[in-house]
Amino acid sequence: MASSLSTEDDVLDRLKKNVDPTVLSDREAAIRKRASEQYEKAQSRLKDLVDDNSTLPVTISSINIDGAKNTRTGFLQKVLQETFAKSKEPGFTLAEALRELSRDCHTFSRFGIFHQPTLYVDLAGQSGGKTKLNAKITLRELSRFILKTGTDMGNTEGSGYLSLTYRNVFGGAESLNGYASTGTRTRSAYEVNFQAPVNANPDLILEAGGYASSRSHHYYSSHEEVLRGGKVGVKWGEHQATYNGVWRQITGLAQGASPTVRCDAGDSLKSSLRHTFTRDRRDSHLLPTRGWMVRSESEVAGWGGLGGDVAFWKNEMEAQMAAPLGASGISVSGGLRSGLLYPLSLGVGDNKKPAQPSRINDRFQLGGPTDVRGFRECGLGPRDGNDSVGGDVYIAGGANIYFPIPKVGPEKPLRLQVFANSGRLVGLQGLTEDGGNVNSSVEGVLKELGNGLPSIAAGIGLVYAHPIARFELNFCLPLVKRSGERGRKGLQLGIGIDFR
Amino acid sequence: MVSLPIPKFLKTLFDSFPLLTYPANPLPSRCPKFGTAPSLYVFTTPEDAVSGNPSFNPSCLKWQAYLKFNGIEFKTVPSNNHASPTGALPFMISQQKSVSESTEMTVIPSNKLTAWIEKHGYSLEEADMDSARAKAFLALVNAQLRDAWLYALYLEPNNSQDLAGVLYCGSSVSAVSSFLLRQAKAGARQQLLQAHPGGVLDPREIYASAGDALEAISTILGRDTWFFGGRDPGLFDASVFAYTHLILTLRWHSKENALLRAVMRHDNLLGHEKRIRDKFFPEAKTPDPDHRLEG
Repeated sequence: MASSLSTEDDVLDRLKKNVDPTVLSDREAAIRKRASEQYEKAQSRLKDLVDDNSTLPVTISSINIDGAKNTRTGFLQKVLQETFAKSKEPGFTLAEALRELSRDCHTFSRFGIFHQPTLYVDLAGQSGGKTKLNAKITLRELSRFILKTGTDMGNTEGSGYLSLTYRNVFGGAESLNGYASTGTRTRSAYEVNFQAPVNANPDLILEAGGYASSRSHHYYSSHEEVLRGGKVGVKWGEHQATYNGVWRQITGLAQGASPTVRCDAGDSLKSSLRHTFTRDRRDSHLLPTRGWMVRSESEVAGWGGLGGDVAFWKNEMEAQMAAPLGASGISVSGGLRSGLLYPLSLGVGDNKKPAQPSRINDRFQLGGPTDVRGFRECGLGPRDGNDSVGGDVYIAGGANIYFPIPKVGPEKPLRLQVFANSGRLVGLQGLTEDGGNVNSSVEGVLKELGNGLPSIAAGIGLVYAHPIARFELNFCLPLVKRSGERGRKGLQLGIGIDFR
Repeated sequence: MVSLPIPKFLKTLFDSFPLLTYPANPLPSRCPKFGTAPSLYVFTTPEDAVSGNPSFNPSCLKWQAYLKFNGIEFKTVPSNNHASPTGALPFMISQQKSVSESTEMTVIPSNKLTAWIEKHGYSLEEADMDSARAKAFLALVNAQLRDAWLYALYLEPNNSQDLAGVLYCGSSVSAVSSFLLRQAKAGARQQLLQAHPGGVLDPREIYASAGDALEAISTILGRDTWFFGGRDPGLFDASVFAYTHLILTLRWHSKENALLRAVMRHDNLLGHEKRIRDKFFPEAKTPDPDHRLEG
């Protein structure tokens, strides 16, 4: 029952999300082309009409909303509020009225609870030297319950999931989502999440949720991590701010686990505030050929009255750029990113504890086929025995040149790539449980970053950007590394959604 | 995997990569550094770990005492069961010189500690633990005394809150502490139910058999300095001390201190506890006479 409800939405969702037109089949492309030609023709006819009358003074006397039976009237009114206010201003013209109304339609569609709205405008006589307009917006609500099961392709992890979404819970575009998954590395993950737009604004969204998961980190560091936590946050535009409280447990150690992992086993609590900012101007995030992206992520844990038993300031920055080389179909892309974990003193007043050295589950990991190619996953940085124990500071960067494949052409999301990438991950030295000078330790580690060349690998390979994930098969050779770092000589397969 | 023969020139070419290898990255600050002395991972507080004071867990204290009897220098490290290769503390990490001169860390779980100590400790003139008699008495300690200990610590309402909760389930968030304590109590109950099938745990019966066990242990010690007439304290002395010392020094709730009262009845066991404490743990907490009187 539920799955039959979802099919229709599913297809539409996927079509909507499918931002990369190159992957559409020829037939679909042809249909689209015809439709868009008709649309353009209609648009240009409308445009002529509007252009002739664009300065006509108008006022909007009513907006009829059709088909929003589960949505609150107050919510709909809030969306239209601004349009009505503007329509009362003296210089309001037909062109402005149409712009306002289509903006409202766009707003409705962004809540994710309606199909694409349709707009109809009619004349309703004259009043006070102004032409009165009646507008009608036809909305069609998406089904309220969606049950989805499927397989997910994360960064080098395959998993199966079950997700249940209850859309438009209180008639104000709120959504409640339940999610359960299990995979090759995620033994189990559960999440419940509630989202609601504030003041009927799709750009300001409140979020609250709880989660529990158990993940295996045996492939690089001989342990499992169990998380149980909750978060509340707000999203506005490209920003997101979240409070996160999580109980972490390092358990299920392998027989050969290193003393470092044994030392960090057990419980810890993180109470943190996090802010992320992303500005993405790339044409595609799976295989960008032009544009740029910047991202920054900052987290403060355990500082002041936050509580928990870990305290640090963590910051990560990333920048990516891509540009085509003329009309050859060849494009280049480059990226640089860095991260720093700065230990802070924990608590306030008499309970204040000096800054503690970081734990394995707070430190950064680096390396892997979707990260720094030519190295195994989390294969860079300090190692204790068989375990990658992570580091407090990293810097990584890379450059790719994408060549279209002869006879396949640049329209297809298939490329030959030549790349070189590098990274360096180091740990803070000289801190103890009783404290230590964090600043001089950070200075020391920054100096160490510039000590010699970073670890470098280069290679050549094939890239295929499928709409759900990017696949890469590379032949790579590590050129420079630190003793103990795990390079990958020869073929390396990368599957993921988040390539660096 | 299909392995294809690799042409020789390709292999030589391959082997030349990476072109440059720097020395290994140093470990981050929190990673444990090991000297020549082995580290015993036990339940203890950070302060007690530094001063080498007794662990608050009987199994840990037993091995801690036995290592001391054997004159082995070691340091104690605060830890928890998640860290242990067997799922239970204690365990030891020791540096081992391998043939290639590089040092290698070996993890020794508690069930391999006897063999390790035999190799590294003094040869003590302790009593033979393989005799049937010694085994029978060890079983008394490991069953009756342990059951009463578990009951007193985890299932007596006040003790579990004020002792088990603080010692084993401390966390900066009270919801997490109480979740951990609930888990620990359920674990203790399950262990006790294995020994007392039928689904009912009668504290009187559990304490009474612990009392009988202490009576028997006291009789076997008699007027000897160490158990079974050994010239040095042995593993059995360590096993008994681990319980008597903790029973005598823990601040039991006055209405839930049946075990304390049972130990107090045997002067020779009190003397045994004091002898070991004075000789091997001079800085340890002494039993509080005022607190004892409350009983």
